[in-house]
Amino acid sequence: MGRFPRAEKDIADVYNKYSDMLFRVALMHSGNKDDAMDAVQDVYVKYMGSNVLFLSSEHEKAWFIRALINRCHDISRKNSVRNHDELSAAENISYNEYFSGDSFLVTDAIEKLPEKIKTVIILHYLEGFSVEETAKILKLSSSAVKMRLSRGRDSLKELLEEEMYV
Amino acid sequence: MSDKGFMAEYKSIKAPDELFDKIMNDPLPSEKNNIRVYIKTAAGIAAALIITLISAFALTGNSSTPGIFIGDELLTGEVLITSADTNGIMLARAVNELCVDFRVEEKDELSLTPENGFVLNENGEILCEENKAFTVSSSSALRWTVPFPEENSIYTMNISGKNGEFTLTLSFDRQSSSWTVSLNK
Repeated sequence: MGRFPRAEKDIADVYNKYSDMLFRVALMHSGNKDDAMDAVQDVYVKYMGSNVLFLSSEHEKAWFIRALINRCHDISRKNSVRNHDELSAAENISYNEYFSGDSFLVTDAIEKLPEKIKTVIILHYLEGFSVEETAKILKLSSSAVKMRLSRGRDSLKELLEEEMYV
Repeated sequence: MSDKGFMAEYKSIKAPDELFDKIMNDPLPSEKNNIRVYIKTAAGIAAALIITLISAFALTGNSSTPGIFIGDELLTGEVLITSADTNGIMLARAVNELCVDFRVEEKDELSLTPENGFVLNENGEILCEENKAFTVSSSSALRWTVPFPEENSIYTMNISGKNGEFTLTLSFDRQSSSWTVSLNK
């Protein structure tokens, strides 16, 4: 691994610390296991090739999540030109591996949220970051995060109600 | 979001075992993907770039003001844009923020310094906080946000570039009962 400035042990350490969380976030974001793996892989490759120094563990964690979210947005833009039916089929297969029964109602609803709102919903409600932590990670103001959470809650409520009556 | 079954399943998701090996042994997925994308879109990007540059030059090349637009309106010293005319100026009452959506179309670099509030990019990321400068070039869609605006106050953003120093001013016009934006040298 001579081309990378970081030691393999460092990479293994940050992999063990964040990979599960990053994979979960990417999976919910992209709705697709392969895309989620690619996104997480890209983030670690970026880390391996960068000289960024972290001031604290919070700074480090925020860097990884922000890099992942940016990568997920890129993938999402790329996927938006793919055939929608083909994509939906792939997503369902992907989620079958991790969720069952009524959980699909929630995954389907989250899937339909706009990207920016989906991101704050995943970080706050699924990963448990506070509003302030989410704001710091995404470099947003707390009020912007609160606004997106409020819109997200309303949208999820509507989507879940629609799905329950289908 | 209180579905315990869903949360338990979500929290039990682990990164696939093969992912670490993939990272260590095949650390160039982006580059491979990018090459494919580059080949497919290179011609399109080149054409779009040429059109954009020509348009930007046509719009701003002979102008004495920086290429700052609200909606389709190019801001000049004479034009005053009000929130009644455009949805580019919005008062978000729920969070008490005044937002101005604007677009920079400028072939040269512009330095923006909000004296009040902060500036976000299209993704909602903060580019610049109060009294700090940041630089934009080419085409950028931005949002200037002023928290807790007061109708008696005037909010400004300094803009400097090849054409000189300008001030973007946001104030409340009592006659029209709307917020106005103007650009002054």
